Amino acid sequence: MAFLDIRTLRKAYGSAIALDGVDLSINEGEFVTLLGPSGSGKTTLLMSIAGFTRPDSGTILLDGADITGVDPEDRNFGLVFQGYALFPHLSVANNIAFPLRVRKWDKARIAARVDEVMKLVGLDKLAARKPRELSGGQQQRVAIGRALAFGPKILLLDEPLSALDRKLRDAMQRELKRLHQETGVTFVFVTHDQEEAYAMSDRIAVFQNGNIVQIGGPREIYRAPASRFVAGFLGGNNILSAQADGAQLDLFGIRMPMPAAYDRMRHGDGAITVWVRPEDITLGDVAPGAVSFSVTVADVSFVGTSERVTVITTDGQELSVLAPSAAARELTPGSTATCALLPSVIGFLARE
Amino acid sequence: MSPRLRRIGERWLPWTLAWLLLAFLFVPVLVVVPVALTAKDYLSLPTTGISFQHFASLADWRAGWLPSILTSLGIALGSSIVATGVSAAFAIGAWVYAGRWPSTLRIILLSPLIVPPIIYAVGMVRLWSKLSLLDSWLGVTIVHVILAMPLAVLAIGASLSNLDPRLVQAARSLGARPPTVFGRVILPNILPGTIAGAILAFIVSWDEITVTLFITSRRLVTLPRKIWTSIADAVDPALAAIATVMLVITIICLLLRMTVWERLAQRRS
Ligand SMILES: Nc1ncnc2c1ncn2[C@@H]1O[C@H](COP(=O)(O)OP(=O)(O)OP(=O)(O)O)[C@@H](O)[C@H]1O
Ligand SMILES: [Mg+2]
Repeated sequence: MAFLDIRTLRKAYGSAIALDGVDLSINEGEFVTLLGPSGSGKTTLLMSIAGFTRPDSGTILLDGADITGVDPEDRNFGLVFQGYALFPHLSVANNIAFPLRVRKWDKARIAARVDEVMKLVGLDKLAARKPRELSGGQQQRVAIGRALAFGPKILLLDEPLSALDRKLRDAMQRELKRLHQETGVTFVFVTHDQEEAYAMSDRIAVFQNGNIVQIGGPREIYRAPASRFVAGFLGGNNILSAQADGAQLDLFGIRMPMPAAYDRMRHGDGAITVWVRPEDITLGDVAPGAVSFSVTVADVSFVGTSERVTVITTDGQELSVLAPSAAARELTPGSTATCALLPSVIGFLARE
Repeated sequence: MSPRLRRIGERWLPWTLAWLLLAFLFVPVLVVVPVALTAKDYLSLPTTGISFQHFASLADWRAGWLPSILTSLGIALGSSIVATGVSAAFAIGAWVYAGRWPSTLRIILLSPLIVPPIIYAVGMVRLWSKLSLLDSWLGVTIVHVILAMPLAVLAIGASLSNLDPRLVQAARSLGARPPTVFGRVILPNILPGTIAGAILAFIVSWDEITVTLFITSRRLVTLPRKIWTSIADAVDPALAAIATVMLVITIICLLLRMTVWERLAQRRS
């Protein structure tokens, strides 16, 4: 039996279905991320776990006990919001002490615990400041410290990093991971940023329209997306149509030996759907064993570390390629170029 | 333009105009002070000598000023407390359960601001006579509560609008039950707005005359009503005396607000 067990949870707002029978089991001490596009039901699930949203049906079990109807204040789960929701009239130390005062701890114990928590989240110098006198990153630390102070059974975080700039976000990701390891608390983290999910999670649950469509470790999800939606959502994969006939694969009109990953029972034959990552396609040079094909360049855009080149294959499919700037410099829209890929990078999607 | 002229234009002209405007606002008010000190028994400047007899008559129970002051004070305090409590409850409820119902209710609550008091008064007379609330403490207090609520709701609502509604969820997730959420999170954050609302409600009741004139007759005489009738009967300089007393109290309050309050605020932050 898992630590937190969510069983066929349903929630509708009028005709909008926010949760459509969600099942999810979370083990004690795990870091689970709910990942999905906007409006897919991540917040609704998190708020149902927190107790603020009453599901229409389904149950939530904690250690085997049904907590579906328990008030949020009795659940002992920490909650961190996107906007932090710090108490503006209380100092940093008093914000962190709030859950302890509510629990009527004695003074000495509160003082000791507040000290400990402020050290844990790296705020020991700022105890007397008010929230409005802190930077976004510091406020974030207070919010996390406050939610961890009373020793919650689970820490729930709803896009806590989305308001921070990129550099701070990377630092806070590492910080959260460290906090997770040091405290051993179970983390349930919501984001729509896949890199954030990859960087921190033990497991990722991918949401689509109120359902969890795939759940697994970051590498597993990255390597083997279970559906067209997951493949497209993660990393902006190219979703392509191809022809399979037993031992041969026909992609962009090029015939090649069927890669080993293909399974006729699961992926079907005839017209099938495959995916290829933009960074797995090369422009110009052809590695040994790779198949090459000519394309027409449609667009080149600089994305920092490399160029994102959009090309059209001879059979009219659009392809996104991530190429080093050196290889893409000469390209202009309308010119022709040669692309290549190894058959082993082709991923196959299950029949839908 | 010579530098001197320009200096006059830039420095002295705005100053002079500002002071003239202030004088225009304030001098008519100050006129009541000498009038209160007149020795005659009609409204006049003290040309024949200074006397404190009109101040003395304020303290004389039989002259009717003191009872009316106490009546007004009682009604203003009572209606201010009730109006503030009800308004706070409404404003907090509307803040927590944002939606269609609260905004409709809000418009109804604010309607006394829009309906002219005289029309309101006519309606209240009919209703209160049916309920036998005419000329009673309860009747006047209820009316003043209704008239004061729009301002109190606006004042408290303004301080709530700066507050993140998710603070309630944050507090509950940290283990606080609703009374604790109210006492430890909401109240400390809306205290300034609530105090402002209470003061506004007090002032509304303290100088309400239109509706009060209609719904009271002999038994209940508030201070504005007493002033009103004494102007209508004979122009008693005690009027100027009461105005002077209120002026002095107002100035003392303002000075306290400027000194003590600032010092408290500084100490707190
Ligand atoms: N209080 C509400 N009233 C009406 N509809 C709601 C409410 N909360 C959520 N919904 C709807 O339920 C669906 C799921 O919303 P939810 O907030 O869970 O999405 P999300 O995955 O958290 O999205 P985002 O990434 O934008 O935060 C959406 O279609 C949303 O419009
Ligand atoms: Mg959300």
